[in-house]
Amino acid sequence: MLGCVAVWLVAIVSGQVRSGPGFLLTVADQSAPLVPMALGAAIVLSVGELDLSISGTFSFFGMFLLYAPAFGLSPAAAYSAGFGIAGATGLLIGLLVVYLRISAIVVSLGIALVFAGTAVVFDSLLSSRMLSDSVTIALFAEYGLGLSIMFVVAVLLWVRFSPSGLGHLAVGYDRSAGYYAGLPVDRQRLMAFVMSSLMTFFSAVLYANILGGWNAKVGVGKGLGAIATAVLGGTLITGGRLEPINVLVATVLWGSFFPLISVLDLRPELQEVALGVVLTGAAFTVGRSQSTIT
Amino acid sequence: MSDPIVEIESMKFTYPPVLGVPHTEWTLSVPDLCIRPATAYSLRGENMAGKSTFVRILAGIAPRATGGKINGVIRYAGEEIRTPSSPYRMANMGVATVHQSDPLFPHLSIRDNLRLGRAVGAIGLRWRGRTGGGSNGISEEIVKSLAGDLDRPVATLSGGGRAVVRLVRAFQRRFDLLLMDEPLAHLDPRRKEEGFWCLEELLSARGAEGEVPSLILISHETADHEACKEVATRCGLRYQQLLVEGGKVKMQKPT
Repeated sequence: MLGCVAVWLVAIVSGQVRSGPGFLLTVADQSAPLVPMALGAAIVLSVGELDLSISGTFSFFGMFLLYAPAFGLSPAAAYSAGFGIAGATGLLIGLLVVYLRISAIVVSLGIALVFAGTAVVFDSLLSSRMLSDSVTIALFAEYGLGLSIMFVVAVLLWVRFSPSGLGHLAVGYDRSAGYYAGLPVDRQRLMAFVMSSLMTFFSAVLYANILGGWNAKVGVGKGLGAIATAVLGGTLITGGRLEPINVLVATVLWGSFFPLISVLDLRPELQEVALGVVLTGAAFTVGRSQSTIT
Repeated sequence: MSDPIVEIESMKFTYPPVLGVPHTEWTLSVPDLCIRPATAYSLRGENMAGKSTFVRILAGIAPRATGGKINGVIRYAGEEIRTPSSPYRMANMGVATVHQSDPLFPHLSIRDNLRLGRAVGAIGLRWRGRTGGGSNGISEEIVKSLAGDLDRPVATLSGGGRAVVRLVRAFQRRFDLLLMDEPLAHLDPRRKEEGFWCLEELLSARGAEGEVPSLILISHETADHEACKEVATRCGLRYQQLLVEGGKVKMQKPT
């Protein structure tokens, strides 16, 4: 995050970017649709698991909304069906990981490939990649940031004040201790995957409505970006810690990095080097702060 | 005599092979055994005899954690359970556990650690179900007197303080059977004394509410079993001894 702030400052000082709340709001607005997805990734990480299906499902959900009118689905039916598919996908991943004890990496990667491939098939069948007016919801396009902040608040309240939020962090910190304490360890892990999948769906909904269109490649890199921002936002990769507000800030800073660095007129290969340096520095800083937790 | 809490008939537990190599010496068998209400059981046996495995089976931890298999019949309150494979399910059925190796959550406060011992509603948004009821108040008093302020992180507690928190956490919900696997091991005599005082206070509070649970205590120390017997007598519990020998759990006749 410090790296992103540094790039930001360089951009502002060099006069490439106008400073001020307007600019900040624009960046936040652009990054907002990815916040629920990053929160979902953080929820899975904080229970000690990993969900790599995000990019594939993200691509698919947007594609599904694009394709829904072709199925003759009404807007309500399209969103409900998408929600249902998202929940079922999370449930499937959770069941395979928790009850059949298959590696979360393998399962979620497999699911990612299935959904990414399906999105490409859908893409090849469509003549237009613009979101149909019938499924467009202006509220999502106009108030993406507000809705994302509502997600952050909801997750914050859940983690801080609900029994299952407390149990979630406890199970993530030490699964074995969770068993001994009589916590619903398996249910908590299962629910984390379901929540992640649902939040990815909400991200796709917000993103599709803001973009006004979609293609099968939209999700490429978004999944890893969501996991990166979750970690940069202070989520312990080994589980037990989740800071929703930090994840929001990390997502906005992450989202601002690419536009800022392109404004600085760096050559593409140097942009990648800069990103790598910022990521490594951020990971080092986060790792140092987390190593103090016992 | 009232119905048993747990009935076991010809049960055998086998650990799974380790990297394909079977280790049959780890098989634990329980021919026939009844755990009765309002009774304190001392469970003795040598190292590696299978004491901890026995209580972990009853708590639903052993099959879940190891992938081992159970053959035979186990009944909890008359209900037959093919494999007690979920500690959460067993906790909801009224089995509480306190293990020496049971790690608390050091990054959370004492209060949060105690909360985690309570039952949670179906969607996890509120505490509910079989909570400790009136004994919660006395639990907090005990923890305050022995471990300190409830908002203190568990990471700052001594071994004795953590043992008290573990014990009190088990009493945060109602139970019929309390399994204690060396809950006060490696503590100095004074801390052990405090631990047994804590157990007696909590059991007495339950007794005052009309509930008299059973407990099983594992320990290598004769003094611990003597202390358990005294606590049982003062709390109106019967006292019996169990022995694990040669991979078999059996009831010992009173001496």
